[in-house]
Amino acid sequence: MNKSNISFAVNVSAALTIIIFLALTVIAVAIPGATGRYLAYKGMGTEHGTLIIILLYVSDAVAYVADIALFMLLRDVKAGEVFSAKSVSKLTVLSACCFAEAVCYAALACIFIFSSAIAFAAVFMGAILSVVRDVIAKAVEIKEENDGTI
Amino acid sequence: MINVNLDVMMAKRKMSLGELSSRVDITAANLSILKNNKAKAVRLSTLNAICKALDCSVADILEYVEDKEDGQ
Repeated sequence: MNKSNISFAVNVSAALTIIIFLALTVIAVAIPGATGRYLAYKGMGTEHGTLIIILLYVSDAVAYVADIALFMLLRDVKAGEVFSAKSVSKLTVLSACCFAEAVCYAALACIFIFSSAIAFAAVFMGAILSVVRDVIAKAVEIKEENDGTI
Repeated sequence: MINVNLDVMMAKRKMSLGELSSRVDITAANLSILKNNKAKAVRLSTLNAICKALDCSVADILEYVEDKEDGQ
């Protein structure tokens, strides 16, 4: 992958994070109405409605945090600051967000069984990001050692 | 800890940082890092070049000093 391809890929990723940010805003607005319509369509009572709305809003908020961390990480990549403590901390935030999403969707699984699959996927993604974070942290350590070698 | 006495040898040989930098082909910034004990590691090739330029031995440049943590 040459420099221009990497730059293009980073720009595409940044654009995606912006699109996701806008989508999350639309989702936040649509949650109450969509939840009401879904419950009515399924013939389910409204007793779970409050819990569903709260969990979806928490999930949306966590997704916002993850999206912002992702955008800031891409900004650091564009600036050439890849192997730094900042990148490690942003990957930690991303991993934590995935685990938080898993908790939200695991809680929803008592109402919608399919959300357990989403919870599992979120845990898996969180685990992958944890490993990537550990790899980058080690790379930062090696880079600092090399930078300090005269 | 290891003390780098590069500034002492440079003073003895009346050599500036810039001149030493051009002789050993290492940037003045990196030599300054070394001189101020901020370096994490030194290559043997770097030590070789510095000793050659300053006409001294490694012991003139590097000195082991026992610090409190090592003494415990």
